[in-house]
Amino acid sequence: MSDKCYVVPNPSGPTLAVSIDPDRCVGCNSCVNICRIQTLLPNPVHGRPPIVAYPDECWYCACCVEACPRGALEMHLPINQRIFFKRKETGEVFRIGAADSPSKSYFQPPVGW
Amino acid sequence: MNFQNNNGNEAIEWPYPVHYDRTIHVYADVLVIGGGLAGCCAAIAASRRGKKVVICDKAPIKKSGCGGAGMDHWNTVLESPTSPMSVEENIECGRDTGMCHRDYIAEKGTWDALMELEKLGLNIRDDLDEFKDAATRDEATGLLKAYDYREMVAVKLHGGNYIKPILWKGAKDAGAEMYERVMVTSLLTEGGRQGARVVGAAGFSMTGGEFYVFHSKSVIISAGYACSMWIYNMEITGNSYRWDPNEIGEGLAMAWTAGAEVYGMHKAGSTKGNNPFAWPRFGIGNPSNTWFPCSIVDNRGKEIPWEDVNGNILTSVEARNIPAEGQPYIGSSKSDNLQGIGQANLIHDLGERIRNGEYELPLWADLAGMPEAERRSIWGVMIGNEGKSRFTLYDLYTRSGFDPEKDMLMAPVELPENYMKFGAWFHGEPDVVKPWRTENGGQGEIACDWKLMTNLPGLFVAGASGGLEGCSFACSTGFYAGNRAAEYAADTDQGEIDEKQLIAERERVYAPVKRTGQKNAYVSWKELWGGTTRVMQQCCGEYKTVPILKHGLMWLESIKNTEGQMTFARNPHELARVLECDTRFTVSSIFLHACISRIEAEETGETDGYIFNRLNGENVETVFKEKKYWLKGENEPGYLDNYEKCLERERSGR
Ligand SMILES: Cc1cc2nc3c(=O)[nH]c(=O)nc-3n(C[C@H](O)[C@H](O)[C@H](O)COP(=O)(O)OP(=O)(O)OC[C@H]3O[C@@H](n4cnc5c(N)ncnc54)[C@H](O)[C@@H]3O)c2cc1C
Ligand code: SF4
Ligand code: SF4
Repeated sequence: MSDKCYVVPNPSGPTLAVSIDPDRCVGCNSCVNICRIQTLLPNPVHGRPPIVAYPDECWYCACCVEACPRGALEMHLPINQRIFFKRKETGEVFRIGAADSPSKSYFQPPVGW
Repeated sequence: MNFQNNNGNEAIEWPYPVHYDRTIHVYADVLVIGGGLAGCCAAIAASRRGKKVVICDKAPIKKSGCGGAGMDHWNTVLESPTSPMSVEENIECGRDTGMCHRDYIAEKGTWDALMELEKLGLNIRDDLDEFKDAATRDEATGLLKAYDYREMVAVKLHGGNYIKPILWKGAKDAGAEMYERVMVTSLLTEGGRQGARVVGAAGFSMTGGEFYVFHSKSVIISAGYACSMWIYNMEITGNSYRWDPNEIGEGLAMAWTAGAEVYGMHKAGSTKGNNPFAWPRFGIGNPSNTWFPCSIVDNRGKEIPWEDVNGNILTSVEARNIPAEGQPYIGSSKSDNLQGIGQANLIHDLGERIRNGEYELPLWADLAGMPEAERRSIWGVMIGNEGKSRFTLYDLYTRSGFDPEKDMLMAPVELPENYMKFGAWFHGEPDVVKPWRTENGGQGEIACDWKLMTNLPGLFVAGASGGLEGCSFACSTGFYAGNRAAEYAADTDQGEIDEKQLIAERERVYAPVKRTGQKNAYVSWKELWGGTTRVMQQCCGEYKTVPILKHGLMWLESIKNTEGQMTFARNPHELARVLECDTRFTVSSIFLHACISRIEAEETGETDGYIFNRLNGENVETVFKEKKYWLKGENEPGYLDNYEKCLERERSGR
């Protein structure tokens, strides 16, 4: 006989930690299966997006983001709103994640990928 | 799309079938507790010696542990063909850590371990010639040198983000059996006796709740660090550097309870590194570690001068990576115990100069102004592979428009003097620097002999659990311990597991789930964690006295017997979190006891050798060892002789 157990998904911390776009997610649970914390749990309904059960315990390692084959999952580092950078030539100051940050035309992958 | 309700905050049924009353027996020659960097390497080595190896980990091994989110520095490769110094010399001249044999073993194996990782598939060299002719590149090997561009002592781990997937596959291919999301809770000893041979371990599944009994001829503890004793920080763990949150110190606690000796646990007491004011590690402008040697400019664009360890001003960017006069090499003070191998830094009186108006805050890390190869190295190799920075920083900052070719990243505003403290920039204000070990690096050191075996026969230790920090030391000691544990297993039978010990452990493990429904079971694991950290902040802070430390022990005991008996666990995940609080009770008490023995030894003047502690029944014993005990008696005369002796069997293929 199996024991009945319940999860009460925790209200999130400063950010939702992880959000999943249900239109892109195919419910493969790759993210669930890589998460070291069990922040993510499989949805009881097969094929539906995972449950963000323990966002308050997230380590923000982004292993789930890396594992998602559909780019459906976003991790929200709770502190990113605070970091500034300055364009050397013009002296303009921007904030990571701010609405007015400059757009970048290309993405250069890091080294070793 | 409705993210905000988290798919509904209503209670849902736990998605895995749960069988708390089921027991699963697993038999192995070598059991590896913790499948991080050290654990995977140990499993690979022991499997290759023909042993049946079982690894268990709280998390999915492909990405578990501190190394699971990436790495950028592979430190201390003094066995490389062009090394400027031998390991023997390095250890002889180095700091006395109280366990130099262990450090020697770690340093001896780092180069071979790196070569082994490459064989397993890690892309460690600049194979695309992105750094051709750059000073960081070692032309003979195509490896990228870190810190020191004249000597190759530390390597930039090109491809370091993949270190765990590669080791995971290596261990699987070698034939190791993996039990993931199984939390090991205690060691099992012969006759259930403390101090006796270790014959296995018990644990439970964090998905299905089943009880696991591992029977094994030898056991390796590679469960990483022992953290979170001083700070309760829930939502902000992601911001700071804190080690993998799974690493509470079960390895240390179970070894202690079984009677193993521990060392250096008095070096505790800081709250630095995990405080709520910390910044995303590596995600702010700074000149050290991952960002070394990034130029820093003040708010008006004026560059801050650098100086070498002798205090000479460095006039070019290139000079920051060249050893100063008299320096054998530039290393990392954390991994290399040698004096005087420190890195160049910003001018020493920067604080004063900021205060008198010469430089204006905030400071900015001038990536845009760095030579191209250095910029690409910092932002592409290092931020691209370092732990938790590939997606969190590289991708996120890029998406937010940060362009390393054009931009400078702001450094946090701090007390001007703080800018001279290594790493302090990450930790934020208010500054809580304390002179003793930081919680951040607060691994408990399980003591060991020349085989990395503890005083308990059959119990070995590797990686951070044995005080061997960093990826190169973790892997090196993992391979070594795996071989020694395989040899031990070859000479011994499967021991008998004591039924009484098993029943007691089972009862302890499942007590919190049995309380479900009870009226007074309203304490969650978070309250328990917060409570123990309060004890440590109060009673094991910077100012320590025996009465305060003893008060702490009494306080811990009191919480354990009161709130500790009122904690609930609604599912196997919560059960793990509650049991981690039991671990905290034990680990915290070791810290307190170790501090007491230290103070008492100082009072009686017995400070010449080294102080170890171990549990004997209910009592904590202080064990004194003489200076350099690791080279005395049967271990005379030298480091290399001992090492060679331990490798004899491995080399002869027996
Ligand atoms: C973000 C970050 C960046 C880093 N960068 C570098 C770097 O560039 N260079 C460097 O040298 N070092 C770096 N380090 C340090 C390095 O990662 C560690 O020193 C190293 O991983 C330690 O190896 P280990 O095998 O001892 O422990 P880990 O690799 O941490 O593995 C321990 C394992 O034990 C498991 N475990 C714990 N308790 C239990 C239990 N009760 N039951 C079962 N399993 C358990 C854990 O889940 C984990 O998988 C970094 C660390 C972090 C967090
Ligand atoms: S960021 Fe890491 S800890 Fe957080 S949900 Fe993703 S995989 Fe889990
Ligand atoms: S990995 Fe991506 S697609 Fe798969 S379940 Fe997770 S979010 Fe959905």
